[in-house]
Amino acid sequence: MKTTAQEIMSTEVLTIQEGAPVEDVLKLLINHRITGIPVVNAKREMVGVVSEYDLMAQIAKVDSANKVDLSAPFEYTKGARTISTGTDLDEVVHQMLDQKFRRLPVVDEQNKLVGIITRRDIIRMYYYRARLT
Amino acid sequence: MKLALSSEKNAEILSVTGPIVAHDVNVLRAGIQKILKTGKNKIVLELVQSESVPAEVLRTIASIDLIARELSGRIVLAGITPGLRTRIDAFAQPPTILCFETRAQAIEFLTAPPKPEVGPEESKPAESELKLQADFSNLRERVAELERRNKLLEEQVVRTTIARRAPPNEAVYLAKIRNLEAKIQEFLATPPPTSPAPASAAAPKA
Repeated sequence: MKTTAQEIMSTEVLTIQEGAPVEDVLKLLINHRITGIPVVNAKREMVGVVSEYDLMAQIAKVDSANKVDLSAPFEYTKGARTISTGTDLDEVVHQMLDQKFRRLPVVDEQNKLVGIITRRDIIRMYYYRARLT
Repeated sequence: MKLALSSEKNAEILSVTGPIVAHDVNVLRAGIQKILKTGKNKIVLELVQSESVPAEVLRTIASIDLIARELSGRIVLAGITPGLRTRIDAFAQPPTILCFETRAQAIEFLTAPPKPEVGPEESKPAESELKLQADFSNLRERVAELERRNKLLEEQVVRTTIARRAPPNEAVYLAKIRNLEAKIQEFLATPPPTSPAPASAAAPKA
C-alpha cells in the first residue's frame, strides 16, 4: 500500500495572510525557528510562500538597514509549488530532491491549505520505518 | 477492543475502546507502529472503558515509546482513572509510561513547546560551588591588597635609602665630603700593622 501526502503531512500549519507587515513574518520565522511560511488569502487559499530569502531580498532593496519599514507589507514568492493530499510519497520525495524544496504545502481540491510536509517529516518517517522493521 | 485513529494539534490519537486483554498486544503494537511509520511520533493512546491494561501491553507500549523518544516523540496514555494509574505507575520504577486523566491534558503535554535544555534552576551553581567562588574571590582581593602594600613598602624603602645617602642640602653635602676626606687622611697616616712572623720560622729546629 502506497503512502500518501495526507498520511505524513503535519496538519497544524503556521500561515500568514498576505498583506501582513514584515514585522509579523519576521517574528513568526524567528520565534518558531522555521525558514518559511505558506501565505494564504482571506479565504485561506494558498497564494505563495514567504521565506527568509524573500525577506532578505526585500530588506536589501532599502538603502540602509536602519530604514527598513517593518510595517510595510511583506513580499513573497507567488505561486509556490503545492501538492495534493493524494500525492504519493515517492513523488513528494522526488519533488523535494529535484527542486531542492525545503517544504511542500499540501492543498485540497479547493486549493485550501490543509497541511505541510517538510524535509524533517520525511527523514523522521524514514528513521522510524528503519527502526521498526 | 476497537481502535480508532484521529488527529488533533499535531498529536495522533489512538482511541482504544473496550477492555484490553493480553492477546490484543499485537494489534495495538501494529497500530502504534503504523502511526510511527508515517513519521508522527506524538501519540496519545486513549483508553475508553478500559479498567485494566495487561502487563504485556504496558511492556510493549514502553518499548515503542523508547523508540518514539529517540526523535523527541512520546507515547502517552490518556483516559486513565486514578486506580488504573496507580497500577500503571507501579508497573516499573520509576514509572516509564506517562498517564493523563484526559485527552486534552495529554495533547497539551505533547504539543507544548520544548523547554530549554538547561533551565534557570539547573544553570545555577551548587551552594558549595558558590562558597568556593566567594572564597576564591576574597583570596584574590587579599592577594591584590597585599601586592599593593608590598609595592608601597618597596617604594618607601627606596626613598628612605636615597634620603639617607643623599644629603638634604649643600652644606651637609660638603660636611660629608670633609668628613670622608678626614677619614682618608687618617687612614693614610696610620702605619700598616706589622704582620706576625710565620710559626714555622719562629720554631727551633729539632
